[in-house]
Amino acid sequence: MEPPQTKGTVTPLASLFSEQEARKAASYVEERIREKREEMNRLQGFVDENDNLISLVKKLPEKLHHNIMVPFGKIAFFPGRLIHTNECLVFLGENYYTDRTSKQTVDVLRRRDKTLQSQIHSLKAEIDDFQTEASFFANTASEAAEGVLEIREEYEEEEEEDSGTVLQRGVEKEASGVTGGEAGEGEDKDDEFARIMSRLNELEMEEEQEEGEDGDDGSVEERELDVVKGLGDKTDDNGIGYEESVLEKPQYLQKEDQPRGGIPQQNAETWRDFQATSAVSRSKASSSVVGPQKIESPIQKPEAKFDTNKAFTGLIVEHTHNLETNTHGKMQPSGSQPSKPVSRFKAQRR
Amino acid sequence: MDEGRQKDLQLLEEIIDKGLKQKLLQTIASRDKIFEEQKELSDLRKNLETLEKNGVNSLKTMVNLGSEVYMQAEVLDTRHIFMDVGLGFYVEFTRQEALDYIPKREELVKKQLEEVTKVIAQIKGRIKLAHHQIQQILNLPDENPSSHRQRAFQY
Repeated sequence: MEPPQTKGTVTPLASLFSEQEARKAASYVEERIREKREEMNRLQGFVDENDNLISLVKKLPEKLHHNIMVPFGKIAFFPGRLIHTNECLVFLGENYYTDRTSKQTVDVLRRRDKTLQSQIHSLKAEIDDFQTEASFFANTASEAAEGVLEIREEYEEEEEEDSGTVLQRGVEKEASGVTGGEAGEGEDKDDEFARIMSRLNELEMEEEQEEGEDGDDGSVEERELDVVKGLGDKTDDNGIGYEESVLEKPQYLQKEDQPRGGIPQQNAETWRDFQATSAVSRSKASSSVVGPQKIESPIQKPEAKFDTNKAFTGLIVEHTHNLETNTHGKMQPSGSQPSKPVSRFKAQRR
Repeated sequence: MDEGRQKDLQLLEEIIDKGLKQKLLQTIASRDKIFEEQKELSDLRKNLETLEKNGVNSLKTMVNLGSEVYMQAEVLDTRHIFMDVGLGFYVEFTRQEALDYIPKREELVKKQLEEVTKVIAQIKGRIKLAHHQIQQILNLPDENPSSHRQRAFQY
């Protein structure tokens, strides 16, 4: 249904990540991997040496003396003996040495081993990271070589976009108008929508001229109330009645929405939207276009300001002359704003 | 055409340079090893002479078991010493024999050193020559390239 238009961008992956650079990056990362591997092998060598030493130090105290070749420099040996086989001088670092028994030496070596193992582990983790990086680069390089394109499109939140019918789109438009901000997306470039909007704008202009009213917090609700009232009893001037009608509203709206294959989320949001937009409408109420109808008589002057916590947050004004339009106004979900009396006219168009 | 040739020549000389420099590094490394050996020998000689002078027979020392863990060891009789004579062979000497052998060994090492030093000097000379030729090409681009080539491939 949507007119074909390129809403997004198409970029060849090669332009984003040039293949050569990706390959260079991959080789660089592989180089780093090699370095880390070497480091790890070195550490592994230390670990092995440590293990050998532990077994040696365990074995030595078994005898009083061991006959050994004592090195004298690098190229000469003396035949000699190992004595005091239980005592070891252990190097602790920073030019510190300590005398330890064999058992204690074994403990020292074990602790060293733990340190080495933890180092190896961290190195392994680093190597894994580098490997994933390298594989990513390699993949990117191969993709770029193949000419893969990257297509970006804006994400538009209107799921109603998927609906095919014009009618539903009209509803969606209302919803978008209701929700205010989303309307600005202009998600629907449909001609019909454009027509509707232009018509609405015209009507708005008319209203603004007519409209002398302000402080219509309840203008939104008024219209909706009118809708409700239009349906049923118009006798309710009270806040109670008002609330009732307001209460009826969700059901009413639901009823209305269903034949249209409604907008479930909108119904669900009814009360909350209502309150929220009421608050909004109140803020906008001062000088905005209130509604098609005028507040004729102060039938009921409702409380000036309600909290947003309460169910009904706006003024209560009864209008009797807008029945016809009201029936169409029911289209509007709860959150319509006074500045956008779109529902009414949309309804008319419908 | 000349430009192209000069570029080729230049490239060639760059390559030579790289090869030469690699060789230089290698020979320097081997020379360092020889230096080490020389030092070891002289240290050993000095120690043996000290032992001899003081008439020391037994020795107490610390032996590295690995990873800088030392254990006490004693040498009861320093009259016999085993020395590395190359190719994995260790020969038992008496102290005096060792003292005789060491200077002979040192002589050998000195000769090796000289040879290696010569090689190094040669390589260095070649590198210098290559640099000189590059410079010539750059300075005199209109010169006849054939004469350059002769010089470049002389070595």
